[in-house]
Amino acid sequence: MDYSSLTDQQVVQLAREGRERAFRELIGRYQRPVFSLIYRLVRDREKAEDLAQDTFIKVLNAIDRYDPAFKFSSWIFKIAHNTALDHLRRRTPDTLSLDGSPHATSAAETEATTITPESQDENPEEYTLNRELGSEIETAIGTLRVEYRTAIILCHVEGRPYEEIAQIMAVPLGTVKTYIHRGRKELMVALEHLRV
Amino acid sequence: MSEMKHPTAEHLEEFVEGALPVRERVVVELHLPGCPSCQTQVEELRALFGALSGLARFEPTVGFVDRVIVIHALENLEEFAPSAVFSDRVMASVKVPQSARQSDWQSAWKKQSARAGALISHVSPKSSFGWAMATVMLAVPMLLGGGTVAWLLSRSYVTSSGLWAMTTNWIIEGLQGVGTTVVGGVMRTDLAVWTAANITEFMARAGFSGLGLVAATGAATIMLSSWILYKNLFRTPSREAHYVSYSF
Repeated sequence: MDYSSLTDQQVVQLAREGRERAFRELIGRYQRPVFSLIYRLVRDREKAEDLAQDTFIKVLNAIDRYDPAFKFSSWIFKIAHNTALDHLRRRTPDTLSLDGSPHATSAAETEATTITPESQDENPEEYTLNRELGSEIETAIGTLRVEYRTAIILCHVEGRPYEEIAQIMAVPLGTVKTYIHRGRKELMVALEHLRV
Repeated sequence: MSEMKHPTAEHLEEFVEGALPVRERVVVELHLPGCPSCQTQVEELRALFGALSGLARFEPTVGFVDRVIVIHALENLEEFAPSAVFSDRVMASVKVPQSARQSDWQSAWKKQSARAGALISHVSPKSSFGWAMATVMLAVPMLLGGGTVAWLLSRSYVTSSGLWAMTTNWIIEGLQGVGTTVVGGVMRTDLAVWTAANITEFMARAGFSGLGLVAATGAATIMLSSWILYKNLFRTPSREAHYVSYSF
């Protein structure tokens, strides 16, 4: 059977029967969109891969509970989005800075909480990040609020309609339109210096 | 369309997206040639849309699909149940160390001692005055009894053997009375008196050997009762309880 010619719903049906090839087909179809969305949200390749892996495990474990009334893509993006958001909420806020902690009460504490870059060379992670997310547009996307970023990526990169984005993000349609409009506005301001 | 009626930013976005209804789209198209400001906005939006749509999708590292499949399979490995008698077999082969048994007995003893201590503490006097009153309550009968005996023996018409005989007679009659009262609930009173009298006669005739036999039987009964109480009240009978209590 040629799985690649089947619709998502047909592959899901086969996956529900426990067929490993159907699992592989679903992961193969969505690994890049899911990984890309998560990577752009968390901006850490290794963490994004872990979260994408978690997303697919959740999808495969809950495949019996998937409601075919909804698009499979909406469901999988919703799980990916929630997984990334959970990670971002749990993440410890950065407390170190190049200028030392703002809560330092003495010169010694300030010095202890100050990061001194020892080398200007990029480490492998920074190199990857700069190469993949280092372009002007990616940097600008990285400055957006997570809600705006998610909506912009789903709209422009994944080409999802507003209604589907509203389902994925679990917000009203009007809110999605606002997110996208404000996101675009902020991007245009961030990229203004590039205009001749 | 005059410059005072610029399309809104949202309208221009929808125009660039191609999502504007035909009628509004025509209005914007007619407005744009005469409005450099809106033209600039549209161009900027088109440039942004172009840049965004050109963004690449990233690829996870090689072997991602295999890793997900393996992890999913591992997480969903079937659990096999042993036969119904498995736990019985295991527990049958578990040997509880002697030291563990002892510690179990000791802990039971400690527990019961603590209970007894608490009971004694509960009924004990709580102040010096209380202790003094308790001492008086015990001492007064003893002093009265002792004084009475001494006074009686000081009389010329009372001998020690006569006093002993009289006292033991009283005790025996008292025991017979207690026996009649206790047994009377289930036996006829005359039968109870007859039984008590026979027991007394037996003791008088049998002497020390008969008394020893009765005492030995009583002691054996008490020991047997204590052993049954210990086995059933102080010890936990189940093996599972031993398994939980002791770490092998």
